[in-house]
Amino acid sequence: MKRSREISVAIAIAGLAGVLAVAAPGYFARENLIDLFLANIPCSLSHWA
Amino acid sequence: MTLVILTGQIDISVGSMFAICSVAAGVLAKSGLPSPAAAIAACLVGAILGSINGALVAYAGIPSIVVTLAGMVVLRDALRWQTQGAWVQDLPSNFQWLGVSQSVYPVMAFLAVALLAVVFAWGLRSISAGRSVYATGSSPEAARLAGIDTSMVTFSVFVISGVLTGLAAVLNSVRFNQIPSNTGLGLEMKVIAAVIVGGAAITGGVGTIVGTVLGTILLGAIGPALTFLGASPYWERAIQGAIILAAVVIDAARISSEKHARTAGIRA
Repeated sequence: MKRSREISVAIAIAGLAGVLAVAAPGYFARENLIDLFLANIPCSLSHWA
Repeated sequence: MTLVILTGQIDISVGSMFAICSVAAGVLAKSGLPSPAAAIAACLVGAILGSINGALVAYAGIPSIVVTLAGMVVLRDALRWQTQGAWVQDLPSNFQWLGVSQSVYPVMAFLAVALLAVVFAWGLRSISAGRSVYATGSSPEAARLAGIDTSMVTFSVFVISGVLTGLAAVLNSVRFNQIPSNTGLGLEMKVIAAVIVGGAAITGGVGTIVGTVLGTILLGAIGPALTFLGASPYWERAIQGAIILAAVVIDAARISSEKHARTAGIRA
């Protein structure tokens, strides 16, 4: 099926988010999400090309 | 890296290129160059390094794994020799956060990353240059017979990879007031893992930017998630490895079942 891998990864992300929402809601604090994003910038940009 | 892998190549020198671009941006900013000029210069350094890789792979016909493995070692050790392991310190205040406030910078960086993702995703699907990348990765010979300059496509993706590595180096460096000379150590593995988990085939021709974005989110979220869940962070790499292995096994099983279905269809 087309896009099957993307769907699998999206489901894995949703599952992880679900577990974190129940067990560690602090993960979704604005500061943590910003920090997470900034820490992953090198990976984010380097992999486009 | 997605474009490089889509053409059936690999670039394991991105971590070393990232370190050189970071140090170059810091040194130039420290010498009095305005932040935007230092950022452009870092991207230019990335483009030059990428073009060397690209020329050796596309025109000299040397396998990309050999070229970029050599590049990884040469660039990392050349930087170590040049800096003697010293960090670039006392960066000017206008370099930090690219001269904007700390609260505005994440928004700016997010917009830049999102815009690039949209442009590359659209370009790969909708313009002939993007389709040429898939064609080159799927079957270089067929692509060449169809009139595609596969050498130019391969060269170009390495140059683009270099430019984006330079940009990534700048966006990362401006977060701190010093730049370690060993920055970006192991970056290549993170990047390759994100692309593979996102569904790109290491043999080329298959993969999307959307998949790579999802792969990055998944692998980037796991480490901090383990900390929040009270698990040992030492498990991070093991879990990342297990995810990559699972992704590859699922892919192999899917391809095998598709082949079986096709064979059964032909027999029927």
